[in-house]
Amino acid sequence: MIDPALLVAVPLAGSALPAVASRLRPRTGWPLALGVLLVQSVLAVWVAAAALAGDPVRTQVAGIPAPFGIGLLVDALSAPFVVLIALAALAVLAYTRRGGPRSGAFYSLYLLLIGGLTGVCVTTDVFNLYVFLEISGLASYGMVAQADRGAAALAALKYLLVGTVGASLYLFGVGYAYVATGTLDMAALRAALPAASDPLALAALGLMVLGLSVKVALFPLHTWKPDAYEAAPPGVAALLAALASTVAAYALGRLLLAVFPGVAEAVVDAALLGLAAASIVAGSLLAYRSESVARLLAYSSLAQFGIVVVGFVVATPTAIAGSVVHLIGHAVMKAGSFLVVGLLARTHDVRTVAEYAGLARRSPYVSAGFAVLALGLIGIPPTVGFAGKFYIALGAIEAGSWTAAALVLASTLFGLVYLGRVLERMYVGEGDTHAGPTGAASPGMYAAVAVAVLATLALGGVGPLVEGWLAPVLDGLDAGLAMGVVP
Amino acid sequence: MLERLPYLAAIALVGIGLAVLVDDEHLVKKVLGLNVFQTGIFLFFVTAAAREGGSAPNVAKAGPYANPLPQVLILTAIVVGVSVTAVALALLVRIHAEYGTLREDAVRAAIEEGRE
Amino acid sequence: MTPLVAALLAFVVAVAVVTALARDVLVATVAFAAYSLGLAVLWVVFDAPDVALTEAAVGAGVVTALFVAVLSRTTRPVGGRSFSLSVSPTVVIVVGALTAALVATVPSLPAVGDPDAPAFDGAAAYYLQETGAYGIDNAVTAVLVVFRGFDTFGEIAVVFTAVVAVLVVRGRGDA
Repeated sequence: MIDPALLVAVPLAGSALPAVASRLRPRTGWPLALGVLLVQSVLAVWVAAAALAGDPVRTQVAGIPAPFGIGLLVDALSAPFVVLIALAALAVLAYTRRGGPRSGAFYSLYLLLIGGLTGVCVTTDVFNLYVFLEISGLASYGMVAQADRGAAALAALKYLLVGTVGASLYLFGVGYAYVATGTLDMAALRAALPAASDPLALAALGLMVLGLSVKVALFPLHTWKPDAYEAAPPGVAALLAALASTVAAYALGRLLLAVFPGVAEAVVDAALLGLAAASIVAGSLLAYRSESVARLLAYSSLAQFGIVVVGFVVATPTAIAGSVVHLIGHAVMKAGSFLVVGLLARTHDVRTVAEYAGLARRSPYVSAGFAVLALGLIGIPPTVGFAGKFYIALGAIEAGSWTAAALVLASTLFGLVYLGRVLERMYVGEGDTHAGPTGAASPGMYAAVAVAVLATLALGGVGPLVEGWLAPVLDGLDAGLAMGVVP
Repeated sequence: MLERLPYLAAIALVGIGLAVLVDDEHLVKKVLGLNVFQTGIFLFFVTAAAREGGSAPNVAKAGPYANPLPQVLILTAIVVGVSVTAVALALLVRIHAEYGTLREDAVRAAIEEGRE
Repeated sequence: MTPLVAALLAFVVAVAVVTALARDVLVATVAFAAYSLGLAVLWVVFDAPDVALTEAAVGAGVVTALFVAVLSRTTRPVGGRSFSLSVSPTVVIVVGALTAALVATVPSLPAVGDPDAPAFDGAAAYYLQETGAYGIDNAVTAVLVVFRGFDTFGEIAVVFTAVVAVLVVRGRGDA
């Protein structure tokens, strides 16, 4: 079997290639990144298939036994994200070949981001997770700053300051967890934390959740997001929208499910539900008031991640499956939407909701693609956006949590309003008011959008499959021996 | 509380750093605040590693020893912190080259002006 | 709690306050260098010589040099008062709430130096016991290189990421 460490080592070690090679021969960055990502995708699919078909794939780095060494794990919870990271990276790469940026250094950051995010998904050591959080964070700050405009530098700095505070709060939580228990291994923490002193376990949980909430960008910890996504080059915005907050939300879910059960659940659940509700309401409102389509999409993420958190709070097997499906689905749909925004800015020089008026006539195929993605984000069947929300709502009803079910329903209505506003402009809005200089788009750019649109439709039926995959993992977590320590 | 004074100092540093980071309009001060904030967390870890009557964790000498693990974590975290600071300062140089100021309010005003 | 530790803590917090309040960023940077040196001494007192060396070289050295380099390329605000005491009420409330919540956990923390603290069992005891088997006397080195070598691999990646990110930010990534 393949060592999961390779999933991290290949992109991180491979990241040296584009920066170095492009100094020797110009424009070698993109093909080298493509090569590394192809290897990464094969490894990711291979390991994930093995983990989903049979037992979870795990390893202890350098053979140091758990819980003393650093463990890596690909199970049904992390496998979908490992595959998502690899494939989304490939799809967005198809876009950036023409869409840019094109420098060798940029593609080094691209690979470092992928390696860091994959590390966050596979590690079972809470400090090791911090290290990978910082690798992916630093790479994304640099990638946002790649855009030429001065506003990009300020947006990147804000992203850096807020992101580092988030990661550091998480690190502080790791400190509390360690002081309370003497271990950094997730499974050992899960066993030791409930017996530890209450205020320390609660501080560990509170700080780690707070830190990751900043990275996920839940309201009111979201302020870095719209500026960063609007200022970044479109390919970067799409990649970050697909992966950055998604992986942070995965880490949040992993901690809530595999480390912290038994620690002040009532208080934590109430606090998280409040944060989620605030994100859904405020995110939708801010999206509705946005003129820039990129900002609208960024604010929409607040609401979407609020729904994911609802699923993790409800925490029945159905709701957790719903959160995983919604994370993957949202990544596909939101990345696809940002690619459309980049594409339309290039071909029609349009960026605001007003400028999108009448686009359906001028650019019918891209508009239809955007419509599918937007309907998915709202949660209309048969898209993956519906599947995720449906499972979360179903889980909430099973658990008798009417607040949670109402939040999911409300988010769909809100989505209908703020995304419907864009669709209405595109399809029934009058106008060719905006006719600026237009540029060409490459087949790779259209292909990347097409992949996202098809995946939005094709993944619509994935719910039962994910629920089936997750069942043994969740049973194992309940038995307290799914991770790290061998039963 | 007194025997836990270093923990209180660590929390004070976290608070001071965060306040500067959020409140100060000067971008250099924000990055300095970030550094104070992070080092406060480092103090928490290193304090947790200290042991009454202990010595540095060198097993060639007699124990008891301070806890090597938090020390290693902070060695890593210091290097991470410097890396973040280096990128932040590179961004500051670029912002200054573009707008001629490092005050956040002035930079924002310049960006708004550029939009109109 | 020795008087030395108390004095060092008082010094560190005091220079942090100076860093926070100084309006002249050069003054703030110099105060920050003193702050880093104070921390380095504190790490020595807490039996963490490796952390102290790194802090002195990297924290007080490299970071201060980076700040001075940036200040020499940019401008300093001149005139006005030396120190600013105005803080927005929102910041006071938010940071105050976080600080108060953290202070509330302090009585539950093990006393500093308590050998019965959970942190001295578990992984730390294992590392100290196994270090000799790898022929390394300094347990910090052993943890860094052997037991948690994967973190160190990640740390190298962090430094490389920062180097490349700086190149990109400064517009030298084109090739």
